[in-house]
Amino acid sequence: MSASANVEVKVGDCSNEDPQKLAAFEEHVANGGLIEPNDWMPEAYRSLMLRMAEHHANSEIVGALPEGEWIVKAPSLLRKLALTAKVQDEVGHGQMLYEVAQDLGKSRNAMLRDLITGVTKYHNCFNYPCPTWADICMIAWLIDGAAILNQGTLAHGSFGPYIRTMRRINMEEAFHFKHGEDMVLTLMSGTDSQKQMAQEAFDRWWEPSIAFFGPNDRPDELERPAMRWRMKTATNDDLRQKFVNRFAPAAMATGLVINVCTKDDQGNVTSATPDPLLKLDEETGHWGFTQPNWEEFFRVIRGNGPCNKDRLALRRFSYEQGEWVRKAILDGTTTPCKN
Amino acid sequence: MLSESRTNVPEAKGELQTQEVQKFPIWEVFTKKKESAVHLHAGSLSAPDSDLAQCFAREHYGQDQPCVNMWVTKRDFLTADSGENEFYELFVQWGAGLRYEHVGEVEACNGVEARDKCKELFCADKKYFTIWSCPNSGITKIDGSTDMIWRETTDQAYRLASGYSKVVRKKWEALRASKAVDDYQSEDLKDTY
Amino acid sequence: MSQLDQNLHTPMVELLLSLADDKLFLGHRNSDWTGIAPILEADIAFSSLAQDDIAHASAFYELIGTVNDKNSDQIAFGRTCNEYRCADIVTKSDNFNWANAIARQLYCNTFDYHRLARLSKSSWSPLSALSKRILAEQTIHVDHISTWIQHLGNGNSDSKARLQEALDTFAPYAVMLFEEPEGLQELHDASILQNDSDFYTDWKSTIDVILNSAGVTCTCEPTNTKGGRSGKHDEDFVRSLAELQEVFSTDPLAAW
Repeated sequence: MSASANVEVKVGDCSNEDPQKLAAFEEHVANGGLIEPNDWMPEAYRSLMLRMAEHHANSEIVGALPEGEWIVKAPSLLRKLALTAKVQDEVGHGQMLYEVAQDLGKSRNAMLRDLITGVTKYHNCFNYPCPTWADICMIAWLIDGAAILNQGTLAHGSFGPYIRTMRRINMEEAFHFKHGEDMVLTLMSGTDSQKQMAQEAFDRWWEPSIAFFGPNDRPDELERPAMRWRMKTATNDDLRQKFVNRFAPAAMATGLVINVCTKDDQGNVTSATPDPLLKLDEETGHWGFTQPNWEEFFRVIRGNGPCNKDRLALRRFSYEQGEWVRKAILDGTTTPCKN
Repeated sequence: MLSESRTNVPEAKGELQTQEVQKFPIWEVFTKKKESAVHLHAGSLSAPDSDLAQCFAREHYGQDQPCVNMWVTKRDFLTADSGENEFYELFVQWGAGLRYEHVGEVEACNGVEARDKCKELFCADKKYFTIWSCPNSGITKIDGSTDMIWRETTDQAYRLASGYSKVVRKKWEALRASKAVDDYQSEDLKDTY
Repeated sequence: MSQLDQNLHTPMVELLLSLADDKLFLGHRNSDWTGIAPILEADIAFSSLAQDDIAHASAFYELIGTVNDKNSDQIAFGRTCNEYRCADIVTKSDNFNWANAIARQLYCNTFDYHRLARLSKSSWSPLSALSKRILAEQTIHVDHISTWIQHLGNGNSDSKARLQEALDTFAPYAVMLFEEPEGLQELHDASILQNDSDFYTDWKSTIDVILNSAGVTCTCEPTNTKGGRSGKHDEDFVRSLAELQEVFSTDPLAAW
């Protein structure tokens, strides 16, 4: 799973940098050049890359929680195995991204502590509940599907350690997505009850999926540091359109209806009407669609979503319950390493 | 109903009561996909000692795809200038963005000499980006043929995209024209690394 | 010998269910740690072992299916409480305590190792072949859990105390692993399995060696009590079974 990075740094933060070095750096990056840890980089690049990796890592280990709830309830041996492997992968992605961020200057411990005290953030979609098995299927298809579109572009970014990590992550993401497709296609060719459960879950997850890519592009998006320094290589709106073009016809082919929904504070759908804008523009090849409710998006990201408190509570509880273990294995390292 | 592990969790409030535990050392892991391949850098991990480093490395860097051999070493060894007179394994990052690749080993007195010899023996006419050297005494080498890493005896298809591709393709083709499925699947990510 | 006599089918299924159910529920409980373990790297590693156990259970359910002609998922998910044959140690709550998780793993992983080693010598070749394959992976589990026992026992006085408490709490449950599946004697009599009085002592020796080097102990005695292998289960098992069957039971015949 990924972050849609909308972390910002003031362009002015480069004012203390050596102008020649900065110019050479910017030309190198603009021409597709890559930056490795021992290369010179402006402080603003280092800190933006750190925040991006940290946000992405946080999203992986928080994302592991709602899906983790369903591991013990998976309804077949194959689904048990696959879902456990998926959540395990996400913990692994978090681990690798924390290593990238740590090498940029912030310790893993500091990052975990900032996460569990609400100082740093994670992907908004994980603040929504997963009330049924079909929610897990829809997350694996839609949210991982959105992550794939996003992460495919992140793997062409400028920072070596991050893009190498993205290549490994993307390989596992390919499995998450294929498995997600398998689950959704199974439900949609199943019983009426399964199809209904799938439609209701789709109604809950369509909007968070298109909101996954972040708020609408600003007019100067391409000049902003994340794009200029090739940490992101595609804009939010471009990716969002790509997502709809891919998934709208696919969803409809399975028999799902794409609705515009309203939700209550608990994340329950209170009304669902077919999206009136959902039409293919033959000329552009683009599908029209209703934008996500951005007011709700920002309300939730600020801490007032259905599950924000639960996610942090479990992450914090896990951290605190585990302290004695970390302390023990550190204390026990008195004998010199075998190798 | 949440599993018992996840219920009765207190709300996250107030100052953290736990102490911040000091960082564990960083270890680097190298893996070989098959006998005919070379070791490639797989990634890093945090662990307090080499037993746990090995334990963690196997399950994190040895389970994403087939792995027949794995080397684990403390990061500090790879860039150390000092050292003893012994054999050093050598790794070259040929360009920015690429993974370190094992190129061979040399006998040397210390890290600096090992890397110099690497330049001579393995990089003579070629452009390279960076070199790592590691004393053999600093590497834990795990041979998958005697000490299983990737589970060869249980079908791992459940955790690979290739385990689902055929069946998913078939299910889509039952609903959509072939071309529509082709277009849709053109956005699929590669499932090898 | 690859054909199993018709009148040995029932005792063989009992034996295989005891193994498969142990592994299914051990994997089930341990998979629940994925995402919430004390250290990210340990989380990833522990989850591998849980997946192994579920995959092993799957392979044995398939073998059972060749004997009683049932589908693996139906066998795994579709029985009533008293039809399951696992020892209750596998579902006993660990209360989100890593020491409990590790102590239980030790008892179960070493038991599975010795059980599989014995089944590898069965004269029924499908069973010996499968057991040999799984035994190769089981070794990974024993090594992994030894490492954890060392680190907690030799960590500090707090971790040693927590580990000892966990070992003590789970010891009475561990001996129930040795409750014999019904009809086991018939399999011995037919020479499908070697008669074997050292099973418990071999297991206890393995445990003692590992625990000794970590400065902790396991105090337990074999027992003749009836429990999980006879279908008598406790509350923690009932709760785990409810989790396992929650979605499946909404439509046991549907494809998921």
